[in-house]
Amino acid sequence: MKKVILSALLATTFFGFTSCSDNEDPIPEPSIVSTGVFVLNEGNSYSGINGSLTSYDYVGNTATQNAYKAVNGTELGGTPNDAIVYGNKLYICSSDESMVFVANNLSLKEEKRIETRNAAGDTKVMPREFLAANGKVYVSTYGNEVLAIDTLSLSVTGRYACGANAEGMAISADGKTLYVANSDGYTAQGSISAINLTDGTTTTISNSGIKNPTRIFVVNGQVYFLDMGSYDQITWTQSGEGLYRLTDNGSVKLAEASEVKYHAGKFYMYHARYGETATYSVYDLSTGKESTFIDGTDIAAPATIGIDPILGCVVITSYSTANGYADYSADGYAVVYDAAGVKQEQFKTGVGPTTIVFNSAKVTHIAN
Amino acid sequence: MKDYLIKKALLLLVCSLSAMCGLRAQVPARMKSDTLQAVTVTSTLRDRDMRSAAPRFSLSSIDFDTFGVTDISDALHRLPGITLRDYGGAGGMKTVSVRGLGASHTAVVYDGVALSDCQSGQIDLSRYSLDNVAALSLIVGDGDNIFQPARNLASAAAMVIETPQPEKDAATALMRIGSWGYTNPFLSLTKHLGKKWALTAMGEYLYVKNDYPFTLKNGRTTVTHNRQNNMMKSGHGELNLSYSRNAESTASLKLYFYDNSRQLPGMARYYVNENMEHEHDCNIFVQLQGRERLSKRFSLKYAGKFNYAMTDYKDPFYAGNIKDHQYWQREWYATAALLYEVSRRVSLDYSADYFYNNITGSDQADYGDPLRHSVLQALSVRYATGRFTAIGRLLHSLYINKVERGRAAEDISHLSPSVSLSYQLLPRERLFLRASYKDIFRAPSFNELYYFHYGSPTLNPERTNQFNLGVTWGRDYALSEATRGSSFSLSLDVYIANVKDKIVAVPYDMFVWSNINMGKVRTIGMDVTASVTQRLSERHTLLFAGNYTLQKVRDRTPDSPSYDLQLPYTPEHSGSVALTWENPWVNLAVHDVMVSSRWPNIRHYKDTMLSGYNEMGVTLSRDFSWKKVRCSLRFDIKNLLNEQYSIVAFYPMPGRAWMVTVKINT
Repeated sequence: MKKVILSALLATTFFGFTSCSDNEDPIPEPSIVSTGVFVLNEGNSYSGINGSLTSYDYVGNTATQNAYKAVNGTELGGTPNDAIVYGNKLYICSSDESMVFVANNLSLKEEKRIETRNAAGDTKVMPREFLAANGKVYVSTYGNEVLAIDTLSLSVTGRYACGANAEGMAISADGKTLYVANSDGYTAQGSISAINLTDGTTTTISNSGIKNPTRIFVVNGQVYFLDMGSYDQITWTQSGEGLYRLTDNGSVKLAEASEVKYHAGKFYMYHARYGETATYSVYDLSTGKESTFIDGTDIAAPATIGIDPILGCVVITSYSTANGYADYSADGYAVVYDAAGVKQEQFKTGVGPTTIVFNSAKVTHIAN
Repeated sequence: MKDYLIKKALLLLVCSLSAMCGLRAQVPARMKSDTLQAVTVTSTLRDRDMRSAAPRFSLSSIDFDTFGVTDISDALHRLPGITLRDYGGAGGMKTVSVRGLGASHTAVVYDGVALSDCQSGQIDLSRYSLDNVAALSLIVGDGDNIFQPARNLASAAAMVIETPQPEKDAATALMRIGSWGYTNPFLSLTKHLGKKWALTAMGEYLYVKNDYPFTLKNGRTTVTHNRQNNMMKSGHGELNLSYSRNAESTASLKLYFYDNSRQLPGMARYYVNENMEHEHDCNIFVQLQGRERLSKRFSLKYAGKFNYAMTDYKDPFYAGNIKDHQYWQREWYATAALLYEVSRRVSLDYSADYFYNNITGSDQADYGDPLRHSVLQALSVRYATGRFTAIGRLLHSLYINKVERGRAAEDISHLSPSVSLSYQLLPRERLFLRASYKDIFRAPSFNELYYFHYGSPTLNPERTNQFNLGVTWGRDYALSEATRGSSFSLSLDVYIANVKDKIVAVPYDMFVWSNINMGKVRTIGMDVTASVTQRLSERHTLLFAGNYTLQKVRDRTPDSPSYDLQLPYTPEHSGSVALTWENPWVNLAVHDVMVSSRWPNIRHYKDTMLSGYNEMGVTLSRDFSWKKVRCSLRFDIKNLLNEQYSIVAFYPMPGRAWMVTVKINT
């Protein structure tokens, strides 16, 4: 039943996409379709569990575990932290291995491994997150630098200074300014770096509201960021975590959140504070209103959220739990919802499913 | 794998026993005096082990040489019931868990006084070199000695380290070199000053580069790397001044210094193995202790100690900044024990201990400068007839916790009973039945209580109880005049040990963890030991030592998804065998440590099992004498089969290695 709904959804988009064109010309027309979901599982080094890639296929409704290892025969190693699909390639970075893996996004065949190193090349740096633009894949690192990987030569061709513990990135609409969330560990003194990609200079933005930023978004020229806030020194209660908008002289909190992703004018997010039931909501930028997305009964302990850029369906991954606590040495799972929050599918993942990436393929369709 | 290990152990046992029984020699035994002395020391230890009401297993320095024990971790493998956590190589941390209770439940007693680490609650045994150890004993539950500090009885198990106390003036110089830059000079001097005073000074230095090769299975491929950033330089010195009017009136002062500067290799990686972590540890203590017979029936034992420990951890790779954390621990300790010998059969002891611990750190956020006052009192009674021994004890513990900033943990007050019984079944046969029970707990460590983003001051103590039932049997025998001096000893213990309110770290969120009392653990186990000395002729002896442990250490937390699964890093089967041929030419020892497979996580996650291993070693040794100078040469091959294994996931252990030791003593 659910499968039918999803197939219908897929088909609608597929035909919808092609029928956008009023062209009756029978010339084959390539179009990009969503094919499935990659869930990158960070594993748990301390429990001897390697990271892995789960590949979920929309059409077959099948989840393949350890997909990367199965194709290439080699491990992704400890803490694969982020992945991105760009230009028919899947990029994965493993933090503990100081390595970027580049593979074909459909066959998953590994094409290149790129070590992440400092400028002198004598010290490894820890890669964290990706952003693709301008024919480059940018990698934020814990080496106070963003590396630019050229997607043709598959080598590091540029470096830009940023702050400490750099995590998520975003790029301006003109592709000239790269924003980096510098979480700065637990110091609550994080900042945002604005990198001018034209001249390579970096401007640091900090204000009292920027404590521990981990994700950043640029929408209509506005900068938004997810901040993890700070932890009380005694009770360790988390406070200040949420979605913020950067203003000229500070930042404005829009919603309570511990994870946020952006899609088509909306922020999809959840707020999961210790000891409290997680809430899942959508913040509509046009109305400035937050509404409930799902009640969360399907999600034991959320790991991350992702929105298919073509289909608009929402995937939320979860840890499994042991005695009521997230279990970091057991397989997790992912739940697929339609844009309205109706559950479509559920599939198993590996341990620590903290990154969701959507795969797509160019297909040639003859319009009839 | 485990069947293979058991079969192998049994086969070796059977072979060696039958070899011994089948051999007859003609010449009457006349031992050299030093051999005789050695045998006496060892047999005294064995005899104590056998008569002990609580399980007690010992190795003497003579055993270390005889059976080719190479280092502290090897020594620990030769004792039953122990699960060793070893991060690999000379610089790798080594902690010991006994009978599945966890490393924090094992006390380490060094020359009569307990060592402490209030930060982690665990003692890293890697810093104790065997050259300065006369005897190493594992005591599970309460030993027979009631006349000792209450603190030595406050743990579920104790590793007791005794350093050499030469009775005559002596000098020992030792040099050991081995694979991967291993260089270890050792010097010890004992000088008697008059009839009552003696001064012993010892010093040792250890350098090892430790860049050993290892293989790691990476999917369908196998990668080979060398361990990097694994160098260690450590120095250890002691000065002991002792006074002895007679055996019952003694005092000694010990100054202890240890300094270790080591690189930490971190987890082995598949692709880029570059770690930059560094740790500098320094430990200094002063310890004064003594005993005095006050009257015919009263004796007093006392000790005082000041301990200072510093740890400086640096990780230049961390977060793009240099992460540098320093911690300073201090301890003041005083203890007194009063023994009252009521009658020939009954003796009573009252021991009272006070200790003060605190820790401060360079990073104020890590801790709120916690401190703890501890008051322990023990009342023990021992009843012994010729064949029956009973020991009963009540231990009262009071822990008072304070912090300079933040929230202090709850104070703890607890009464812990223990009982041990031993009965000699036949009047002329050294065949003993033993039974013991102990109820004890441990106070949470400062890390568990306070460490930033990890500790929880609301923790309760972790409680344990254990029941042991055992039989020991030993005999001196001679199949003929030529084989006089042969002996064997055997022991079999079965036990149940429970941990309640086990302290378990649970995620607060992805970044912050907290500790709660949640877990329950139950161990059902069996320890077997056997040692045989078979004299073949005047100058030929075969010796065998073996142990086997079966441990089912299971998670018994209700509703846990891992209910009834074996705890991480705990093998079900482990054991060792050693066979030695002593002869006039070159003594030969072949030894093998076998450990079955283990899981690195409680969920037994697929493909993460660490396979069992079998580390075989060979030791060749020869002693020379020239006037009063004795020279020993020893050659060891460790891990002869070059087995690639890990005790901790992603911390590979060294493969085949050699070591040469030259020792000169007077």
